[in-house]
Amino acid sequence: MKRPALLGRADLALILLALGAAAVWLLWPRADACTAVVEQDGVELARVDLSSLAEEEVLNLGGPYRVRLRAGPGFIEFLSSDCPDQVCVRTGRLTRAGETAVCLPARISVRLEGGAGGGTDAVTG
Amino acid sequence: MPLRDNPQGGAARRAAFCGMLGALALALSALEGALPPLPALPPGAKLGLSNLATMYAAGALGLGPALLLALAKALFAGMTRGAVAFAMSLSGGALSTLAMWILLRPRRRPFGFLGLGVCGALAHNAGQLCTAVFLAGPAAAGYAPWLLLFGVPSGILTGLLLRALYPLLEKLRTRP
Amino acid sequence: MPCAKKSPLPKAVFVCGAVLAALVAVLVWLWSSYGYRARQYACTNVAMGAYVQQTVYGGGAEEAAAQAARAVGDLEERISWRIEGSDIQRLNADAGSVWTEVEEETASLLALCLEVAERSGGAFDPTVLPLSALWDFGGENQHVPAPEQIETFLQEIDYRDLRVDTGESSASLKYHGMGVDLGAVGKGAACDAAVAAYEEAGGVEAAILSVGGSVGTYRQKPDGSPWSVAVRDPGSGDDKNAALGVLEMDAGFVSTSGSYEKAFTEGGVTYHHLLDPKTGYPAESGLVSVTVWCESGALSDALSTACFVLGLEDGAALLEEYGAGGVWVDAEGGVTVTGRAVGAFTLTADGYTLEERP
Repeated sequence: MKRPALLGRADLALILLALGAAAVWLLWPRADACTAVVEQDGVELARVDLSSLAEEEVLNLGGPYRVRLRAGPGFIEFLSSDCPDQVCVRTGRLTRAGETAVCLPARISVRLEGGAGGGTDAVTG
Repeated sequence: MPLRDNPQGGAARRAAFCGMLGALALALSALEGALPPLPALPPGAKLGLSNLATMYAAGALGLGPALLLALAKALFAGMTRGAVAFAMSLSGGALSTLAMWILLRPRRRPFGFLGLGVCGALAHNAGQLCTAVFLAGPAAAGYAPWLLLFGVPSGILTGLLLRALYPLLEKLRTRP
Repeated sequence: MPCAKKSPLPKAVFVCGAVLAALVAVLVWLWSSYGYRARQYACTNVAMGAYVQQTVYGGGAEEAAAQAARAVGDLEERISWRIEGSDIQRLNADAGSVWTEVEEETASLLALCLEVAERSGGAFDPTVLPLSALWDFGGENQHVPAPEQIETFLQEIDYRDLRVDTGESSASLKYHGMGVDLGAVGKGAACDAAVAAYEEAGGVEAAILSVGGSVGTYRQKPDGSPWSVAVRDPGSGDDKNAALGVLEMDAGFVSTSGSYEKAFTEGGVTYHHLLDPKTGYPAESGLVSVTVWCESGALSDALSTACFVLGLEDGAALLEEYGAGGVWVDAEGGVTVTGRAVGAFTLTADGYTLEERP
């Protein structure tokens, strides 16, 4: 009946491998992955990974204001909305993490998440 | 860690020994639960000491009893901490038991105690992560590298403890 | 390194234990410095005619964020003059007759408004409802009223005719026809309510939220860096996301009043929503936006409104009384940083000149 050794070469290799893999995984420079989160009244409607988009695509959100979004590589914007103020459309393209565009009448918001650092925590004004 | 090499003792003895391992597992997880929670650790990073009972069982009693033990552990977790804890414990326990069983096949044993402990912990974490992703959504996968990282020391600790308890367990198992 | 034959346990275990302890220490340090990103929760919802955007750190983040959103909703139910049965709606309906019982929080908010109104010499006035309803900025009926109308309604605006008893939690308006509009402090007060909700909910390590143009912070950001709040570039036109600069703050609340929000153009003239209670018309103080940083959300909101109307010189003196910081943008592209904002604000937009007045 052979008792296993405490620490063999294979064990040491495994431990170092695991630690190394975790370190590489954590420290690997992340691509500026930006995810657009579309919410209506706090409920998530859609989540689009902008960095993985190769072509532009249009999201029809419907509703009384027939809101349409356009997402493309690295950006998202309100394409059109039947709301009276058009603030959402005039906001223009969102490109950086932390940016937000909102259509208040339709209660729809779009914000960009992710991307390593550089973004601000909030916006005043 | 071999009962499979040496299948002595009757069914009743095996059952009794299995029950004793179960009690050990429960005692260890109760001990761990009694430790103050560390806010400095990522959620889900636990010592996982009770793993050593299933590890030993996988080697000494075979896959079936070891899986039963994992199930008993999960039921205990479920009774004390709810259904989510049951699912987490079962997925982690079953996967680590499977890993142990593979690594403790009679003729091929690549690892010593520490390697076994680390493999068990990593398999345990992987199983739990799968359940977490299933229950909480893909965002939980962000913990993966952290769990990999913390699996190493907790696995080493489990391995050390198993090494310390091994002679005792062997004695209990082989001698009347 | 197989263990020795006889009694391998003590030494090997000791060495492994030491290595293990060191390893764990390093890992815990790593986690506490870099691991927090995974534990933050962000959500957006709509309240008070603005979007409420929260970023909450800590184990109980999701539940706390929901509680904060409810707190903001509850506040709106109390202080919106548009909501039937709200404290302010009842106060306005009782104008010229009896004292109105209000919630404690409403009474102290009204008292705060009165204080700022007094110290700003009426540049900020909570009793502006008759005029603000007449102009109806951002509403269905926004238009330039006739001068006679403005003249008539102007007489109904005087904060001195609003009385507040915080001990009894009641308030009254002296004359019929008067009305309180807390729109100018509502978003700041919402930040206060949300921060109080984080405290109450527990399980929150830190949080930052914005309600419209007001921002509130709760405790220190977990990674130890200051909260960075972008101040919107008032001249950015259609691309409203451009930042004028960044305010790095360890704690506190920020609000901005800018002439670019809720403005409309009629007959070639652009009218913005920051009315001067003295003239009844949009304030002309040479400013396009004022950002105020202080210890309370409602106060920062009230002060930013007052300062926009007062202009740089008088406004800066008012902020100094409160120990508040300010970022002032004038129509000529000058940015003046005052008080505690000096050193905390960094200008990032092109085409502006920076002046610092500690």
